[in-house]
Amino acid sequence: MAVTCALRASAIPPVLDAIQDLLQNLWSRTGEVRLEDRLRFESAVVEIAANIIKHAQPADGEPTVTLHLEVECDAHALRATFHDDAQPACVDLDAVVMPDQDAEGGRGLALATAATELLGYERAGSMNRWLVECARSDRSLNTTGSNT
Amino acid sequence: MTTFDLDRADGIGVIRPDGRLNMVSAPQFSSLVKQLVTDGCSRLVIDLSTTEFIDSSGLGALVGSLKLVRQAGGDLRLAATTAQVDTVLQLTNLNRVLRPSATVGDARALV
Repeated sequence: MAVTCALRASAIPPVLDAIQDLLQNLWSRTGEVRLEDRLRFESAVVEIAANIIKHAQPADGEPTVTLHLEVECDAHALRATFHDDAQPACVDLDAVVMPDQDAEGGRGLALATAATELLGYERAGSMNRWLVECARSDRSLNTTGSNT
Repeated sequence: MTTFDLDRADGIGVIRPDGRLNMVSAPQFSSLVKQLVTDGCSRLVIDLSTTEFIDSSGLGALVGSLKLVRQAGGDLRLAATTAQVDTVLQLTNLNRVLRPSATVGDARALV
């Protein structure tokens, strides 16, 4: 059975703490999830949130960007879905590469890509949608279904 | 809120970020390192034992700090990394340049 948590907030730096608190809430409500899976997922979710905070431009007439995040854990995977009401993001995930070791920036999406089995972006109507998915490394041990 | 404890004994600066080293706190960390280097302290150990989370902004601040202290003739070592820090160092391949030591004492001996 899937466990979900969600939040809606302005896309400003303090929301990062709220997102990490949300993930702690998720872990407290799920059964055992391996540390390595939680760490990969948390890193990817924070990097996508930081990307939205840094780069999203408010839609015409809107003073700020609002994001909605839903995180989900089931027997097979950890998933996060971000929606934000900003202008379309200028991003090409196929072009993301890990920067050189002496680079001081530009690692966010590369880290999120390396940490996940699936990272996606699409424009859905007037919203941007980001999808993050980490497969659970213990999924073969889990017997619960995910069709919830 | 992330705080930064600083110990400057024996000419080595030991910084211990307590909390999350992310896009909110990374600029404070970089400012602290810059101030230390300006003050002539370019041998640094970053004690990550109480750093509960680091993101790409925090990694960028560590890389920038490493470059800064080396330009000043010093060095920087990480110490006592958590599983979260180790995970992101490996995912970004930065474990090759930011090689962590097990303890602060071990790192102090290398800078």
